[in-house]
This record gives sequence, structure tokens and C-alpha cells, in this order.
Amino acid sequence: MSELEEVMVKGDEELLGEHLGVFTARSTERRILKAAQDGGIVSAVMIYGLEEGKFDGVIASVTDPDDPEEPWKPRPVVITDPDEVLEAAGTKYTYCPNVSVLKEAVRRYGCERVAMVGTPCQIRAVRKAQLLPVGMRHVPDKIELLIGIICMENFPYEGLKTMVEQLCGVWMREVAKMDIGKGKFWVYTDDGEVKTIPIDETHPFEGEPCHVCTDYCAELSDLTAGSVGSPDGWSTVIVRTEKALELLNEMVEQGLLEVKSIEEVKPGLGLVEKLAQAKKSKNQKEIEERKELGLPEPGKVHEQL
Amino acid sequence: MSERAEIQPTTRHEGHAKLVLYVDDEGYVERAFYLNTSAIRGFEAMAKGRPAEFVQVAVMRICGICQATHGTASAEAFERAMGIEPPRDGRLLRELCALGNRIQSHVLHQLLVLDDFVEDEKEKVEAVKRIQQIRKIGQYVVDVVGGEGIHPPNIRIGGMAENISESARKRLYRRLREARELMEEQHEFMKEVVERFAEENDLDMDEFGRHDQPFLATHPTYGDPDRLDLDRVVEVLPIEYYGEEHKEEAYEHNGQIPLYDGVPVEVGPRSRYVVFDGVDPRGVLYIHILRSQETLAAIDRCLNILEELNTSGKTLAEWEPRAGTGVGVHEAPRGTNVHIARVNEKGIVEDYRIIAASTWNFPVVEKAIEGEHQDYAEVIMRCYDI
Repeated sequence: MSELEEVMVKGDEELLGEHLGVFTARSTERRILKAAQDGGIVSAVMIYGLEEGKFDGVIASVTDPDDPEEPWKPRPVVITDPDEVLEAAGTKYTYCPNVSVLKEAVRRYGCERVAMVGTPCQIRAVRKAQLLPVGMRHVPDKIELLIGIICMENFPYEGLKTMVEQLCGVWMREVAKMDIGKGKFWVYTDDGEVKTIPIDETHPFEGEPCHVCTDYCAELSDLTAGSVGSPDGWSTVIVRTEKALELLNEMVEQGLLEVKSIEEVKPGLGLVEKLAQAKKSKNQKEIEERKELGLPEPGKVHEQL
Repeated sequence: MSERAEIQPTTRHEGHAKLVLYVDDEGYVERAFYLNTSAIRGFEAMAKGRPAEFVQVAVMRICGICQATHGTASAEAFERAMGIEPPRDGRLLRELCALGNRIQSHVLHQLLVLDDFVEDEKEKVEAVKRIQQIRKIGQYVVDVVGGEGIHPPNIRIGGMAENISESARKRLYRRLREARELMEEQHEFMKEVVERFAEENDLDMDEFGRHDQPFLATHPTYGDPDRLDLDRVVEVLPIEYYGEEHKEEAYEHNGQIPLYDGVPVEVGPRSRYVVFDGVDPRGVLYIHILRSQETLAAIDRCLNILEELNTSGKTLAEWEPRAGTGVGVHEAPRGTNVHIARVNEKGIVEDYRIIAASTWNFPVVEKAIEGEHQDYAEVIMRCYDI
């Protein structure tokens, strides 16, 4: 058993999706931790994969905080050079259509082993495309690894901007980092100030489609990384497939990742499961209400045909 | 006394056709009719009244195998009609895209004719595997450069919609080098089996299926409308070409028959070698060998283009519609593909004419078959990849 397999524990698969184990981890490289949102897991995996030739292209999102028109508006990119991965590090709390460049990665970039980071809905979309590749010819067999993030809801750019500028009183272009945690939405400015608002105040600005999503931990990913459950500077990692486990094992053995049992840290796996349950309950209720109105249930349209 | 024989449908070639042969007592063909029975789609009529951008994309649907050539010839026609000049890298990518298709198409044809020349199952399977590997690489070129292997959407009026990335360029180069090695083997194989067939059947490679028609080609790897004098081209209805006495056959040919200086001309790989390399055409079986040679040359030209390409270069010209008429010519795998477009000042098509590559060769196939034994009629027809 590897070091990783010794610290991994299993959680509730009804809430977290099928998985081999959960643990908490962070990158051991300072340059990654400086750019990362939490433990730098996604960046570390992408850099390792590109450097070792496991991937020949990764899809991530980059944003320019200083863009004069739309600061912090992300766009999806295909990265083939490991040195460019850190430009895409850090969470952007708004929509970024990563799947839209998947075909481009396989065509124009000629990639054959693509890794992608995405929200639970994006991961599901790619899995669907792998099963039924309409308009995705020659793409399904080239997906090497799907990295999911933990997601309660996402915000349209204008919604995020309202939250930051109106509710937190900070200009978008002054923002150095954003975060959601401990029941608050956090904005860190370039000159070191911190503004927070309670999470409840952000609800009106959520994306509508998020209200019918019951996937909290990207249940169809190869591995999922997120801040929930782990202390500051660390990420909770849920590993689902043998392929992902093998890759993470290699990284741990080579000293690229520091891992700990999630049972040794606060707030711990319990919080992840609690929030997963909350998302599923809340949104399933919304789905039921829509069904009463005669609207189809997402993901189950075929049952009504 | 001539006996009438029909081979319908003819098999192991692209499209739908039939052969009507009038043979003598010993079975030698006195008169051959190679009739295109493919259904009429009406692309020329469909184009009228529609925007140029739609037509350029729609015409690729003329053929699922050689779509790239129609998209290219159409783009060229509209560019010349409206005075649009694609940037250098767009023009290179366009040539590269269609060459990827040419490589795939040529070896696919070699797969179709395998049964004519090879009886041994093991030999056939080995050839098929090799052909499929080469085709995969040819299609990969079209996938990456054109955006999709079939009906590549990147071919646009004004150039190509996107450039390729540096990493893709390196990858394509490596793949094409692999393809070249495989193609060298395939070429040796084709030469061997064709020459073996000729020997076993006591056929003279120089004389068998030889015809006296002229050869037409405008460019070895792309297309050049300046080398096609349209004043010397006329398209006639089959009834005009075959005459009243053969109206039964004439009415079965769907489409018009293009003539150069009033006579049928051969187009395709052999024409390109005759016109540009001064090669002696020899007999009809030689086309297989020249087509194979042309595939090697196509791979070399692709490698060449990849070296010259600037992956940061502009690939699509900005343009405004204006009235005009333009001729686009592209050397498709099967021959000289001609698209002629007339647009109004809003860029709407007023008239559109297509002389698809294969149509030139239909009457030529007849000439090649005439004088040879009917047992070889289909073999001769298949030399033309028609």
C-alpha cells in the first residue's frame, strides 16, 4: 500500500459519488502554492502530467485581473507548455466555457492526451460527449484525465461584478483574489485589504441553471479537488479512478505532494458531506417544483419520451 | 454482329455508374458507354440566390470523399469574383488541407482495386492494414488543419479560418514522415501487383488500354485557373455527344459531358505527370503506378508546406462583397475540379457552374476500354478512380 493509500478514507458515496478514497493535500512547490487558490492540486497535477508526457494538452481558464474592459472575466485555453499552467491557477467564481475548446485541443492543437479541469456540469458534459460524440468526432478517446472542482453554484460575470463592486465595495480591477469559505464570500484587494459578505447575500446573483444541479463534487471526474473540508492552504482531494490514483501516487512518491488523512484536520470530511447533502436536497426540491409545473427533470428527459 | 452487354452497377469505385459494351464475336469491345447513373442533386441550381458563404460551404457536400476540393475550388472562385486575396499562410494551409485529403483518397482507391490484382488473402490483409494506417494520417492532417476530417469547416472564402498551433505543426510533421515510410512500401507493393497482373494476363503495360486523347492538368498540387482556357471548354448534353442512334444510353447518363477543343480529355494523376513532368502516358494500368507516385509527392509537398508555414501568420483576409465573376480551379484527387461563380454586389450568387473532376474522365474511360476485351472493362474503368 502506498503512503497515499494508507491515509485515504472512504466517505459516503451517495453524497460524494463513487470514489477510491478522500484525503487532504497540498503541493510542495512554493511557486505553485503562491499562485494557487488552496493546495495547488490542479496546477500540480497539470504541470506534472505535461512534464512527464502523460498529457500533451490541458484545458484550463485564464483571466486578466487588469483587463480594462472586463477584469477577471475568464476564457478557456489549451495549454501545451507546463510553464504556462500557473497563469491559469486560482479560482474564478464565474462561468468559463472550458468544454468549448475541447474539440480545438484535438484538432488545431493536435492533442491526443487531453486533461481538463471543470465544474461538475462541465465534467458531466464531457462524459456525455465520450458516450455520444455528436459534433465531437475523434475526441472521446483522447480524454486522458478529467479534474473536477467542488461547486455549490456559479455566478454569471455581471453577478460576480455586482457582488464585488456593489456589495463588497471593491473595484473588480483592484481584486487580487476571491474566495468562498467559512460561510462568507471573501475579496482580497491588491493593497492587502479584505472585504467579506455573508454567503446568503450572494444567492440572488447565482446562475439559474445551478439551481437544478445535484452534483456537488463532480461525481464523474477522475479526481476532484476543492477547499471544502481542508484547512487554509490545503485541498480536499477525492480520487475516483485507478488512473488518477496511479498519477497521485507517483506525485507523492516524488515528493511533489504532501498528503494527510482528512480525519486529522478540521473542518474535515463531515463538512463536505453536509454541504453535498444540502445542495442535493435544496436543488432536488427545486427540480420537484419545476416538475409540478410540467418542466422536464434535468438528466431524465429521455424517461419521459 | 455486335452483342450488347451491360455491367450494372459497376463496383468498387466512387459514385454510381454502368457500363454498356458492344462487343464482337470474340468479346472485344467495339463501342463502350460509361454512364453516370448518380442521382442529380442540383447544386448549381441550389446555389442561385444564396449567399456566397453558404454556397462555398454547401458544395463540399457534393462528395463525402473529396469534400475538401470542392470547398477549395469554390473559395477560389468567389475570391477571384470579388477580388479577395488570401494571406500567404492561409493559402499554404488550404493546399495542405486538400493534400491530406488527396493522400487519403488515393490510397483508399488502392484498397478498392485490391481485388483486381491480389488473390492471396494474407497479402490483401497486409495491404489493407497499411492503407488504413496511411489514410488515418491523411485524415489527421485534414482534422487538424481543416477542423474536421469530412467537410472541413476551416476552408473559407478569404483563406482558412484558423492557423494551426506550433505543437500541431511538429506533430503533423512527425506523422507525415511515418506516412512516407508506409507509402514507400505501398508504392512498391502497387508496382509489383500491377506489373504481375499485366504479366500473368499477357498485357503490354505500354499498349493495354492506351488512348489518343489529350491530357489536362493545371497544377501538380493545387490548381491554377490561368492554365485552363475556358474558351476551349464546352459542356454538351449526353444526347448531343452520343447521338440519336444511342439515345437509350444517352438518357441514362446523368449530367453533362465536358470537352476540351471538342474532344474528351483525361484529367487526374497521370495527366499531372504528363503535363508537368513530360511522362509518357503508356497504357491504362500505368495510372495506378502514377497515382501511387503522386501520393508520395503529396506527402513531400505537405512536409514542405509545414516547413514554410508560419503558425502565427494571418490566415483569413477580411473582405466585402462586390459584383463579379470568378473561376476557381483545384486539382482534386480525381482530376481538374472547376467551379465558376457569378455574384452580385451583395455577394449573392446569380449563377454557379461546376465541372467536377471525374466528369472529364467518363468519355475517356470509354476510349480506353474500346479495343480491349470485355473481361477487362471494369479493370480498365477502375484505373481511373472515377
